[in-house]
Amino acid sequence: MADDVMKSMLAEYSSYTLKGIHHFIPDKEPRKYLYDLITDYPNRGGKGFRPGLCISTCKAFGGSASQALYSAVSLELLHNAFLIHDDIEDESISRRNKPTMHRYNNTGIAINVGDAMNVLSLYPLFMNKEKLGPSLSMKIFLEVQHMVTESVEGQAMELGWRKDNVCGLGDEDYLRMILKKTCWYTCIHPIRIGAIIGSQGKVTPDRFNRFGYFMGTAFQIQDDVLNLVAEENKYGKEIGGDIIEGKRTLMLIHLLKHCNSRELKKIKDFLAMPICSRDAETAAWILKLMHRYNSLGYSRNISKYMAGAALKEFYSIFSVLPASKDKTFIESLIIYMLNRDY
Amino acid sequence: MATIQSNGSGRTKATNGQKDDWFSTINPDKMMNNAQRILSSAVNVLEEEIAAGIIAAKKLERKVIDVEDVRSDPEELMSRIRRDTHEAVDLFLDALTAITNHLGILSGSIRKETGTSSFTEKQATTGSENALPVIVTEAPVKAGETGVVHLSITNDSNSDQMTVALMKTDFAGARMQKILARHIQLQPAVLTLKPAEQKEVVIKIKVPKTCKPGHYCALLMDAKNAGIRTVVGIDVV
Repeated sequence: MADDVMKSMLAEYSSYTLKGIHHFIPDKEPRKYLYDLITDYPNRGGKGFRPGLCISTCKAFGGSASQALYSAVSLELLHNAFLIHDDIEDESISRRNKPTMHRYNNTGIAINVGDAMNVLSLYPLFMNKEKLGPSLSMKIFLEVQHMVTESVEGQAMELGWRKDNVCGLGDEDYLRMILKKTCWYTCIHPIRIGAIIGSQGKVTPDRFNRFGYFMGTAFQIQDDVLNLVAEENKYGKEIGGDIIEGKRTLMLIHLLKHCNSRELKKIKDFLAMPICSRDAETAAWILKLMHRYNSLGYSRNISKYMAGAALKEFYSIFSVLPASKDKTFIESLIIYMLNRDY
Repeated sequence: MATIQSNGSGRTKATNGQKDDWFSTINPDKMMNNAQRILSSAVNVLEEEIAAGIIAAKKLERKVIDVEDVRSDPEELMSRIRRDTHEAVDLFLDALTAITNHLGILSGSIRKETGTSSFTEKQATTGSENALPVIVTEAPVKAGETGVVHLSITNDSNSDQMTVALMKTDFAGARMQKILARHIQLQPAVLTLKPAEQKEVVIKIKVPKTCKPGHYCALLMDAKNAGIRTVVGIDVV
């Protein structure tokens, strides 16, 4: 499947889910500081990766987009709630080429909007019983419960590392954090939920864990690399923002392990400062070091290994399914990651 | 907050003699080792986390479900017994379906060997020519509505005419739910096929208004030849 076809399918599922989100927003006051803001982040045009994976997996397993819609809506509401709260926790400036919600509004309102989105994500899960019956709905509810638990645990791990200025991390620490913080909710559970719905609960969801994990890790590392090297208007966030925020990316972990003691001390001192005191000049110097020590190349390679392993898992799980546009779509998402040039 | 400007190239910069194109620096052996190391590390992390999650969930369950408390409340106890019995019946039905399917596969093999097979199904979901075929309605059906399934029957013989008289059983669902056979209409129920001829049977299932949501299955078979049969499935929502 050509990249543009894959991207247009992703956009189609994303817009289908966005319409679904609008249905679940109460049409009442307070609008200005709550309900109108709920559609702000989803309307900014994210990739729609999670609903795309959920709907396409459901269809590949014989279900319909409509059957997966409420679950996709719930996933997307939760994702955007996480983004609003993450932006506050990370003190981020921009999101999808616009100021973050807490910057153009205020922190209190942004936290409350995030809370509301978390709460609104429950009703589509409850309404699943109308489309899917009580047994499947219960299964999906537990999937989401696990997904959210893992995500907040992963976020806590990383926030803790930053607070304590932990600088002696290894690849395995990163892999664990990223599994918990990103992979369960970006790939593993959207795929599991889609497969449960499409197969009417007949499939064993655990068989998708490795596939989703490898895919999610490849996706996250690529996203982190893009944060350092992309053009800001294409990426939609401040370039190098992750260095300023002290995010424990694979590149930073690699650099901390390979730089000399003088450089290590300077980086540690930089990371020990409050975010607002960290200067762009030192951040640019750290980025330069990442290039010098090939931390970016190292991370790109790992991302490719992960995408390759995801492709292998894909073939072993999905080869028994009949050929379909959605099956090809999932395959091309991985191939896109393998070939992505950035 | 300050930002850093991108170098714009989107690629690793050439520094200290490193080449810009990372492909040219690949050492296949080293790459394989690195890939193996990182993937096996990832798999270990995943297994550890899944195990930790299961243990935590069990601990939580033990804390949340107070066995003594449940025992001391007769109503709660009865409710749990009822719930667990339903679960057990569901499990039993699942096992029964699995055994039926397995028997279907075995009898299918026997039929194939004796050369009497003369029956094919449209929309069969088993994918295996030996398995007991399963045909299902295209979409879930609401209580009070009618689901339709199409079935094709072919006479495999090149010389003999054959007559098929279809019999039907009640639909069975979880928790002893039923859709009675009288709600199934076969059009036609009896058909005569010339050698190598194929005919279609339309199966209409009128789901009663009181029918509970769930998956239901019934058996359809030829009155004279028990080897000619299929499972009909319907999802009620």
